[in-house]
Amino acid sequence: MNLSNVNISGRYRGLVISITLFLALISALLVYTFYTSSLLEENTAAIDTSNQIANNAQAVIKDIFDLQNSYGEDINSPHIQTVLQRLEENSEEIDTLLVALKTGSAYVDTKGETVQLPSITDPTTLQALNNTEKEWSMLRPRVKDYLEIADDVRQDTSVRLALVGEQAKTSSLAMNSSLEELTANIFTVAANQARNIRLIQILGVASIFAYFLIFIFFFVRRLRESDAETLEARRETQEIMQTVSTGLFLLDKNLQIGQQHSQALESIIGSDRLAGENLTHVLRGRISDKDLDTTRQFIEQLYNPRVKEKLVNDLNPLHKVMLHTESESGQENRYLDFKFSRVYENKNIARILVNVTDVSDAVRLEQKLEQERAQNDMQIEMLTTILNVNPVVIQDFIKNTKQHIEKINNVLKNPGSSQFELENKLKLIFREMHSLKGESSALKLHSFTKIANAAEDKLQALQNQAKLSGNDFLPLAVDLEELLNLSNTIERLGERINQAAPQVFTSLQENEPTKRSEPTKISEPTKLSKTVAPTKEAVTTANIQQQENAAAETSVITTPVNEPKVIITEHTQDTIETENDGLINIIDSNSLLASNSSKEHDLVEYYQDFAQQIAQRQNKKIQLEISDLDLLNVSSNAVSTAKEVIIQLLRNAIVHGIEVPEVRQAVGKDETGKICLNVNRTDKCLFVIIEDDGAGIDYEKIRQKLIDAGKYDAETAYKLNQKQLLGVLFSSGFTTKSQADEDGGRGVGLDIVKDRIQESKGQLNIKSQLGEMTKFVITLPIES
Amino acid sequence: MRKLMIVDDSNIIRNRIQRAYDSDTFMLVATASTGKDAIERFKIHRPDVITMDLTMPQMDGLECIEKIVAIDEDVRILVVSALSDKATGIQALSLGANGFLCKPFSEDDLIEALNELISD
Repeated sequence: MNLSNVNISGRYRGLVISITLFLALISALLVYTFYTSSLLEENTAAIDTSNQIANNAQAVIKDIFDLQNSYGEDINSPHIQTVLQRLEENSEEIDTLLVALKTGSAYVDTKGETVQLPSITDPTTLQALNNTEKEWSMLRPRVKDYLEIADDVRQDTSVRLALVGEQAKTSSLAMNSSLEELTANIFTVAANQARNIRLIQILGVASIFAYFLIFIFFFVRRLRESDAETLEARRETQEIMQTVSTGLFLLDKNLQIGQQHSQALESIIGSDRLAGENLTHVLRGRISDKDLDTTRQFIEQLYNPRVKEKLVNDLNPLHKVMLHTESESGQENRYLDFKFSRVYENKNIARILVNVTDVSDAVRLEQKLEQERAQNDMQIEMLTTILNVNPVVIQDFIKNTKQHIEKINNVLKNPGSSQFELENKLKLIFREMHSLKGESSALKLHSFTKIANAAEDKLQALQNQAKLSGNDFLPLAVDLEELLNLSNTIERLGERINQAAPQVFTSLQENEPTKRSEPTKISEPTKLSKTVAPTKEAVTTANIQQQENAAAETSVITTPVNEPKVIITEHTQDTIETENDGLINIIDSNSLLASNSSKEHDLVEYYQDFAQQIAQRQNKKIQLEISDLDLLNVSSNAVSTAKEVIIQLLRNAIVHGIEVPEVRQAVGKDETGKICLNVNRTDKCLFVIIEDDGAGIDYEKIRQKLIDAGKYDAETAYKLNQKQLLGVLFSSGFTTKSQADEDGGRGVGLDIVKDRIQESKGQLNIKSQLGEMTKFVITLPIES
Repeated sequence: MRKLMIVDDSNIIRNRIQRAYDSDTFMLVATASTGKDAIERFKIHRPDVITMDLTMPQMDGLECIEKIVAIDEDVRILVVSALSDKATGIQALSLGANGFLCKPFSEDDLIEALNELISD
């Protein structure tokens, strides 16, 4: 830009100088012509003057002779008077003219006009003038002498008249010849001058003409050269613009795209009308309105001289921006990267150069890498889980997962036709999915939980749908497949470990206590501090047995019960490490088997972990106290039911029962909520007792929810007793939580509890005091 | 030697910048953790260069930038903020900030940004 500026001003300077010189030449010629023509005029005047003197001299001599001839005539006669007067006037004029001619000055002629005479320098002319003057100077005094007395009648004028006559005779001829010579000389000078003028004028015009031609020649040549340069530059620019693979264009302050842009820009942006268009019009509807707005503000700031160009790259809203494009093959999304650079002109920001590249491939690659990374993370996560969690638990989990998936699959295989069937089907799938989610979340298998959660979202949407059809369930197949793949992966990983330690895994698969060999302690015993109060344990069992009798049906017990407790403190980081060590030792030492106590410990830890995780997500503080966990050595469906019920009730207690610390403090409770889990058994029954010191069941809230949901009108709702309200609490799809998340709020948990207990022909007792506590007592018969 | 003021409500970020800036070029004259403090200290110490957080208690960064530039328009301000909202960063520029450094940043990023900030 700057370079061409210099060229342009240089070219104009040459042009200006040439024209000035041309004008100066013409002016000089004009001035010279004017000057010489004035000289010519003066010379003409000199010739006229010389002639005038000659005429006057003739008149003077003629008058003198007239006076001589008229001598004796009355002096006062008009004739004499006229002649005398004329003689005097002519003589004086000759004086004046001679002086003017000699000095080259101006005089006023008889007509009153000023006549300018040239100074005579030519020696011959000067000589002729001097001769004339000499002759006149001899005649003039005698004329004067005569005229002094010519008017006086008393004087004798004859002598003086004779003298003047005498002189006039001699001077007449001399003056005539010298004046002729003078005139001829001046004429010659004038003729010379005229010739010179003509010559110089011809030369001047010729040189001006020549100069003009040269000027035109050089100027045109220069113009052609610069045109060629411009053309070449434009051609180069065009070549660059056609060849470059990125989108290049200039942007002015009003976001107007410049007239030239690279050809690639059209395909990158996906529009062939770009030159002169406004960038916001080009991008409108293809990036978000917010991005468009931000882009406008960003470019405005690029024109702000305060802003440092290099320090605003992070704010560029068009960095890797997604562009929606309508193409023949339908909608297509591409990622573009716009880079902006300022173009300066005389230190002012004149334009913005924009460089656009299609970075779709790079972005997609990034996304793919990210996906693969997530996949790897997931596998590591699973591996970590497998290595950290008791293999029996994982084995259970895989078994359960496959069962859940199979159940869902079966449901999907038998498409119901009626709306009622479809709704039931939906509820069933929901329950299975929820159980699956609960179990995976307990094992920290987040990738599992995520898929299950997504599936639940879909189910939730279906639940809110007015009319269901069999096809609505199709998308779930994808989720199921993913879940199945994941569980297969876990299984495979487990098998690999099994290959490394075959005996261990075999033993882990043997869940039957009767087949169990003599338990051997794993190398590192548990570090958990476990305070057992054996004397009170019997009391607990007795209490529960008493309750068993009372709990013939689901009822509400309102009397407070004080339970003896076995407290297990929260596990700490180092216990996890210990567990790792333990597991590695299992694999290393092929002969070792898990003992009952370590298995119970694993289960305790599993519940602790699960509970603390949920608490953390819910921003709550809890302490889970597990007294007995007598779930081992029982060959019964009751155990798997109990495990599932515990998971759901623990979750329920933390999500719905325990309040957030602030609320607990406000009502005067310890900010850490307490949950007690106790599993005992007799020969015939298994008892699961879960108690929390949370908010209790708020029957009014259930009532209000029912009214809000439009299931009952206010009148009917208020007529429902506590038992009926509890029935609602345990029905499918009911929740008091307003927002569903990973931990709850879909109204499925208690529904599962009820179903599982019913399936096992068990019983459920609930005791709750609003603001104080909730206690669930589940009795499950053990089949022999 | 340019006088430097660090404005950020996070102690960690303030310390990070304090450790990172080039002490051959800059001299730390003040730090502030709120917009209000920043203006008080600006009036007293008259720093040439300011690193400015945007989200702060008691007057946010945007308002603070506007007030400081109203007092002295030759001051150079580097916004140091997380990139949650580009529009806010751009708004800071329109109010008189000279550049933007995205959190998290490396020490080299900061040194480079501060040097670019004082270049003409």
